[in-house]
Amino acid sequence: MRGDDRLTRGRGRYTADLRVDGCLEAAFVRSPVPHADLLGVDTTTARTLPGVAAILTADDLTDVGDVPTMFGTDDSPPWRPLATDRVRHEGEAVAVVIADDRYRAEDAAAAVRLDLHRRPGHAAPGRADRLYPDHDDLALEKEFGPPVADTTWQEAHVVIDSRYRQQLLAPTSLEARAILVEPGSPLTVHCSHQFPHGLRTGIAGALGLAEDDVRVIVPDAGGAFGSKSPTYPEYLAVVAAARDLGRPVRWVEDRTEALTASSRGRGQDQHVRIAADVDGRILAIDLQVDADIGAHPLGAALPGQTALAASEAYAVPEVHATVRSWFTTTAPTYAYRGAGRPEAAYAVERAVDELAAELGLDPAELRRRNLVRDFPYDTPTGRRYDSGDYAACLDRCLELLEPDRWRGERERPTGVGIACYVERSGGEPGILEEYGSVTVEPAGFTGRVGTSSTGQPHRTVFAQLVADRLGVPADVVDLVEGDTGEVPEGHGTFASRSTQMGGAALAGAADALIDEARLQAAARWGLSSGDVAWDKGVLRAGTRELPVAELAPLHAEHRFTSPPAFPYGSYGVVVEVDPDLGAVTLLRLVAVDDYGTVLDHTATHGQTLGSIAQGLGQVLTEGVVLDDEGATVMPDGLLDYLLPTAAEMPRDLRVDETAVPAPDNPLGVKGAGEAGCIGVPPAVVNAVADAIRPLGGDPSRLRMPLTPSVVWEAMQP
Amino acid sequence: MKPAPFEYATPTTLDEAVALLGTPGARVIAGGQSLLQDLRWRRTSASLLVDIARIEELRGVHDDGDRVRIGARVRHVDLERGAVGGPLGRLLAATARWIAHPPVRSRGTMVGSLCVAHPSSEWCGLAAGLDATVELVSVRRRREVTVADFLRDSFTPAAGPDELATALLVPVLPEGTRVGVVESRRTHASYAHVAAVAALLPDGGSRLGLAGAAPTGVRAHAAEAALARGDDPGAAAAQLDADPREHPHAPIPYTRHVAGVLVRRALQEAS
Ligand SMILES: Cc1cc2nc3c(=O)[nH]c(=O)nc-3n(C[C@H](O)[C@H](O)[C@H](O)COP(=O)(O)OP(=O)(O)OC[C@H]3O[C@@H](n4cnc5c(N)ncnc54)[C@H](O)[C@@H]3O)c2cc1C
Repeated sequence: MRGDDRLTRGRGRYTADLRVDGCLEAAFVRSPVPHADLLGVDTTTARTLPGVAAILTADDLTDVGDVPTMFGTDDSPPWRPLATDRVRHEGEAVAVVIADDRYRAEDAAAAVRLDLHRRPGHAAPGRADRLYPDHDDLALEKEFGPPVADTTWQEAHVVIDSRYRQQLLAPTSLEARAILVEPGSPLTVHCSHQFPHGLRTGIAGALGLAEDDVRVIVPDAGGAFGSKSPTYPEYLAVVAAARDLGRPVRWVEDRTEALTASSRGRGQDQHVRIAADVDGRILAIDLQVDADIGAHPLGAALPGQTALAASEAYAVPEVHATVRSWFTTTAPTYAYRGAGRPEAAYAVERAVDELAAELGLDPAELRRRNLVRDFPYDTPTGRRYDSGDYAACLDRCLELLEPDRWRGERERPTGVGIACYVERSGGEPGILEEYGSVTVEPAGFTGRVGTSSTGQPHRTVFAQLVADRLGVPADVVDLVEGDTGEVPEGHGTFASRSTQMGGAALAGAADALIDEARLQAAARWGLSSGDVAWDKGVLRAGTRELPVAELAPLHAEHRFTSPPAFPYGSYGVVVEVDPDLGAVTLLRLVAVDDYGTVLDHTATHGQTLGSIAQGLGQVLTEGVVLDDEGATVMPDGLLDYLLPTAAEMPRDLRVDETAVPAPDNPLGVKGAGEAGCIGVPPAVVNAVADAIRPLGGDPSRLRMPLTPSVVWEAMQP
Repeated sequence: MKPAPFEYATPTTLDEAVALLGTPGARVIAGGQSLLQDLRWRRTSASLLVDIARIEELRGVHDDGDRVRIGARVRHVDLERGAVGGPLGRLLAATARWIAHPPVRSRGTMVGSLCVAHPSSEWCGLAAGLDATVELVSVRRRREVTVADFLRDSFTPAAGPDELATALLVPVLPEGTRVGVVESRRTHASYAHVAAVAALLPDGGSRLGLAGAAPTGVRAHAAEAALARGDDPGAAAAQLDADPREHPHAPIPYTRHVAGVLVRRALQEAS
């Protein structure tokens, strides 16, 4: 049985399941409107209601520091845990009610009166009327790569000029945000989080505590998809409440809050231009991104990920990208599975398909002519692709897709679409390092690592990895992560980094442990360590042998650092379009990904399937619906924001992997967490474009999500 | 979110239930599949929930030859599994399969759906199309209201706060009636965008019901007439029967168009 089976069997223990004596529950009072002056907060009645222990507003948090931004700007406007004189997005927290249970907390929250004076809101990226008095609405502007020469555009045989929209997505993990804070020394924070050490830093910084005075423990976490790495304002408010009351306080976010107040993903208006010669060789790509980053600069710099990825899989001499991040009166836009790369792949792969159509070239052949073939490859916008055989991956995809099988007479309009992508895994400078240690215990070994599972099978994969390294059975290896009291350093789980960075750190620690054990045994025996061999947990020299347990306590650490890795893949999709309704049905979906060397195929397969489902969500059904001012128009929650379910997965689903090892990783490993949500959206839209083009449809009117009405309208003359 | 406080009662007789509904702020709870969401989101409140799950009189279906009486406790799944016989039963079973997903169908009730009056409710479309009648009981009186009168507007059924809907009375479809139901929706578990229900009667007449095409379920009179004349019932449904509201994922012209397409497809399925 795999070590993580209990999660799929419903035996996980999440923050909401923790039993802590005397624990109080929090409910937030939130802004009902996207933008307003906050003239007053009246808690008089609410305070008298049964069970209420405290109600905190901004005035109670003056000694708490600002909310730290994750990918902010150099000059981010201050972000307070509870709004002071203005609310800038629907759902912004204004007050927190602490009561003896959640029901009563919500009763009191409903009795808090807000005095709001509305201001106009603006949901779309672009200049408005200054969301912050001292800051421009343009939060950040950045350029990547040298501008494309005018002559390139002028002399090109063809120039594609397209605009796309990346709709806002809600990173809907099964478990939304959750935190339980126990006051004391250290302050103990249980939180469904991807980056416990980052949360420790964030809380310690805001509360004026030393890092050692804060311990963050991540219980089982029910998914995250990138959205659970920040120190959210709500967390600081709950910490302050626990501190002030001297009692444990828990906040469990519900789905309504998650859909209106929590961070969102994507959110870009894109303008792509591609120049090519008569043979379809791509001469230049220019990508301009206008991102709606929401009301706080939590992820203001994240669209830079899209710019950095603007070459995608192609060896293109001139690539230039600009990013403008705009404040909008919406909840902050932040990382969501893929974080910038799905956006880039969509823009480039849609435009490349338009180029193929324009030139009358087979889209696969066009791509093949432009793929990067020599590694390492430096892209004009600043990436160094490490390794790969992009063409082999595309060929395997076509083999499984059988594009020709779907041509010819068919009952309904049918289309075939492909997309290639290049992903970046491991992280960026600053988090491209990870801590691992292995300790000999009387009964076995304990690995400690700075990653933090949010449902991924780390226990299975990492225990096996350490066991293989040591030559011992996996069931004598225990794994500890997600606890800053147990693991001294760490950078968490996101950016598809856990096995690449954490696995390599553990492998290094296991190797160091073997070296250390040989040294100590050699010292005992008066030999040099070269004379001592490690044999499945036993040290041997000639006839002498010593089980490593007898050297306990023995401990070795390793800090692994490396450049990022670049997984890649090719996706293929066959769709059928209902000619009267516009509904899209997937007849086949092919995913061929290269994650470098794979340690555990069950784990990567699961990641591929999950990310495919999320890719299908973005392309077909999901999308946060806002009015022009930024208020959500999703009155029925998940009945309006439609997630794909098992029933939406295509029956004919063909998943395969190629495996070109990562040169900068001792295990050869690249990240595997985000593939499908990068490859699926452009492949599906390309397939729908292919299906409607012969009918006189206009692919430029296709936008995500491809609801039946969108496709139907694109088919109308 | 969590609901505001309420009391909860489980009467075992109709009289008891109706008496309890005299309490100001009292609400009926049947399957709870719509009411609990509304309470949780605090967009409605109740001082007292009167649970009808134990009332014997509200159980089961009864066919008197003219009308089939479907009691307030009859769930979607009961109809899906064939609680009613004949062509009407086939239509009910086929329609039930389009509603939500199995866990919702095993709790939600048909009469409860009528009392919600959701614009996309399959049952409302079917009940309107077949000219069904709602039976309402209060301490004051017992009355019957046609579905056309009952479904005044989205989410506003014509039931007083003290009235219990005891049953839906659906005219029996004669032997030889052929039935069809089709729907457009965005995921397998989502509400319908539009649903069309068709019954082709042995005498050549037809009954057509639409959900999602207007503020409430409607009978597609114009499409029925067009069919009788030999005209395109789809065009009539789109232009005359449909009266859609704007939806973020479905502009009005598209919804009209879909209503027409689905009426044609439902008829095709029936023929
Ligand atoms: C995920 C999900 C998906 C869904 N999808 C669909 C769908 O595709 N199509 C669809 O039609 N429905 C759908 N529903 C709604 C579902 O069918 C409900 O069960 C139904 O609308 C209401 O029936 P109920 O028995 O659950 O009523 P309840 O929720 O118990 O009550 C609903 C309302 O009707 C009143 N009421 C109920 N019974 C009576 C009565 N006998 N007399 C007087 N008043 C009464 C209640 O007071 C309340 O105001 C969905 C629900 C969910 C949760």
